[in-house]
Amino acid sequence: MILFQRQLMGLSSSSLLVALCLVNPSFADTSSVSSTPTASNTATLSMAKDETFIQQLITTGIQPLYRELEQASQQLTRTSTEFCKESSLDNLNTLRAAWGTTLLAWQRTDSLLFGPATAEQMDFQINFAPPKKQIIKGLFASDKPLTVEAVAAAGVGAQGLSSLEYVLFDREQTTEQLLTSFKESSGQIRCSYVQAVSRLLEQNIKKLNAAWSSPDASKLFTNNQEMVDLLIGKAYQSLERITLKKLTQPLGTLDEKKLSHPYDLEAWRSGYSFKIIQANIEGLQRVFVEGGFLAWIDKNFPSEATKTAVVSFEKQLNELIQMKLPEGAPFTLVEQKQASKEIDELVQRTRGLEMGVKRQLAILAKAQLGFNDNDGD
Amino acid sequence: MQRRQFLGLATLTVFGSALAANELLERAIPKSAKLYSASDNALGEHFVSQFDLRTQQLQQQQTPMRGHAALALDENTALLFGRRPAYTCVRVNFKTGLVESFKPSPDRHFNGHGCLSTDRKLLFTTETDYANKRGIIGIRDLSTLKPLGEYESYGLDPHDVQLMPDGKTLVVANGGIETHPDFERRKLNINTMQPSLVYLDLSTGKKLAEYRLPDHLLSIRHLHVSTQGDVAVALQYEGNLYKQQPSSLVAWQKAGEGLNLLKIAPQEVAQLRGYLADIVYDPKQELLVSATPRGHCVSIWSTATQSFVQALPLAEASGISLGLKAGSFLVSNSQGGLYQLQTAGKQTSLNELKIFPELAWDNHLMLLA
Repeated sequence: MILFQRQLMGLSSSSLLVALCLVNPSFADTSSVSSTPTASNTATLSMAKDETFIQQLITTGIQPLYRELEQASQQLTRTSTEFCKESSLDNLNTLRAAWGTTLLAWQRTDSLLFGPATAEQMDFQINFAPPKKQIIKGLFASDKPLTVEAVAAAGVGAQGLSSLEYVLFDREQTTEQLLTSFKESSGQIRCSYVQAVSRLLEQNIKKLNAAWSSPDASKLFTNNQEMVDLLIGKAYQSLERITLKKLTQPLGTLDEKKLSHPYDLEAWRSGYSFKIIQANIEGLQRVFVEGGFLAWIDKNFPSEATKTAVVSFEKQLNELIQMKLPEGAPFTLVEQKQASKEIDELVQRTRGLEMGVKRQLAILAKAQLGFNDNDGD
Repeated sequence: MQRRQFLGLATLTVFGSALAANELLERAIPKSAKLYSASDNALGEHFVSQFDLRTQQLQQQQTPMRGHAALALDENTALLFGRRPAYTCVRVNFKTGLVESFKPSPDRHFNGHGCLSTDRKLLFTTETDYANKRGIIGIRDLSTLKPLGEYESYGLDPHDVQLMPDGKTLVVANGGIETHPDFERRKLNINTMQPSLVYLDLSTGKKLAEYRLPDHLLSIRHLHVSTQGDVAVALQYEGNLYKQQPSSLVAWQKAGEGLNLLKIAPQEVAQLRGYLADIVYDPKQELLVSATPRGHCVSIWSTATQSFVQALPLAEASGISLGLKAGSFLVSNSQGGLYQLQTAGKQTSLNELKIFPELAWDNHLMLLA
């Protein structure tokens, strides 16, 4: 693992050095205090808008992700209806699988948290974590079936994918026990909740898909610079969330007492905690590679350094997507601090991608990204 | 100044040898001179760092949270305020290695800055009472770090707080932005944000005065108070920069007067990318200098002419403090660099003092000399 880490860091440093020297000859001068894009050269960035590329990016990179998400959410609604008609073990498993497909489809859009996804906090309506258990329990106290309107009025803490996970998965109960809770006297209310949350989720995702499918979608990028800043900036934030929130924090790597925090894993109830990370990277690959963004960077910021960085980043994406995930329930692995080379590899690979964005792509593509100001303070 | 002048001046002045800078500095260094700042290493671990300008030694204490502003208490001890939304601040002793954490009261989080009373018995911290959507100035006993009470900040998102030279008044930068820990750092009220500069009576918490800027999207974030009671304000623009540039990014309030934006041409303000971080004031030169990380420069403003002067390129400039030598400043950046900015004399120059390649300095820098 140490060797692997060194290779990553070595690649990062050497590519950066090449990049800096080739992007701007003055960077090669060690007496210069400036080693990334400066006020002067960022200012020369084109305010132009490559309408043709932006259309291509939206059509081939972004729209398919939201289309798949909407399809998954429709299937989720259908399976929730089926389950509530007949609360069998098979139907519960089908519903859980549909929920998982929707969760992963949503996680594939994690690097697209701007524009329609964040307008009116849409992303929190789709996936707010952790769910507000007391609000959900309050809804279960209803004496009549719950409606979409009732769930919408309850707020984001009782909506979306995490709320569904809370009622569909329970580590304290067997599947059969959980199934019984849908059959008891209160089971009808619980089922109506699952249906209402699923329908509201589908409605919200439909709005999101419609916004990106609109002929006006390209207006979401004012110009090339905004596109570069958003795609690279949001990719960085997504990767930072993985390393900090989805891995470092639960694993307790930076904990004062080195204690692990399995409840801080995202989707710990369902066991999807590591799958969602792979989905985050798949989404990044769909936009950056299939959407042509890396090729656009290569074309618009031509240099050997860019070529090297782009090839390396694509390779790293593919390797993470193909890597074998840790076996077993993530909660248990983290709780018991079970050493796993797959967990170490996941941490190192995501960190490598994060540094690839920060130290290479952002610099080469002159994107607005900084240690201090990313996300503002 | 036209853009070409901006660039030309920048190009002319950014080159400098570390040797020359260090020679200059050596002549000016008093018996003890240390810089303090939050920092991260390449692994993402968080530290509060102390750099001795005389010995060139760096000392680091790992902290359980990412810090924002540091406040040196004496040569060996410093406070580090957690970056918002923070649930931990620390007091560290560089000599013993002791790190003491302190937490906010329930339903509150720290916002990254704090200051001391004149007698150094009280610590004031900017905090948010997120359950009730209000800004708070927390009051603690500096010796025990235990909370003693709190004041309203009379605005949302108090970010920076400083003690006025009268020792009786606090000045608070209310950034105006609503956030909630449930939504991490998401800005929830951009359309309705109302930043303000508020003066509070230190002994009662009573609001003494409140100032606003003409553009409500200019978040009032960082402050520097002069010994005369003038207040410099570094601003951050929350509008869409791809569609609209702010009219300025620095506000200045001469003691006893109103709060005014300093002038800057539209093509110049565009270079700064809507975001100023740390800011300091040199009364002798009547210059304000601000770290401008998104614009990758250090921006210089004149209070004499009430306008922008120039920007010197520096990748991800982060912290800034007054320098040891007259007419100089010390600057850090997130690529591990420490620099000396010389503004006195005919030519403004920015010279490297030391680079720590595996270290990223965070947004503020404090000099204790």
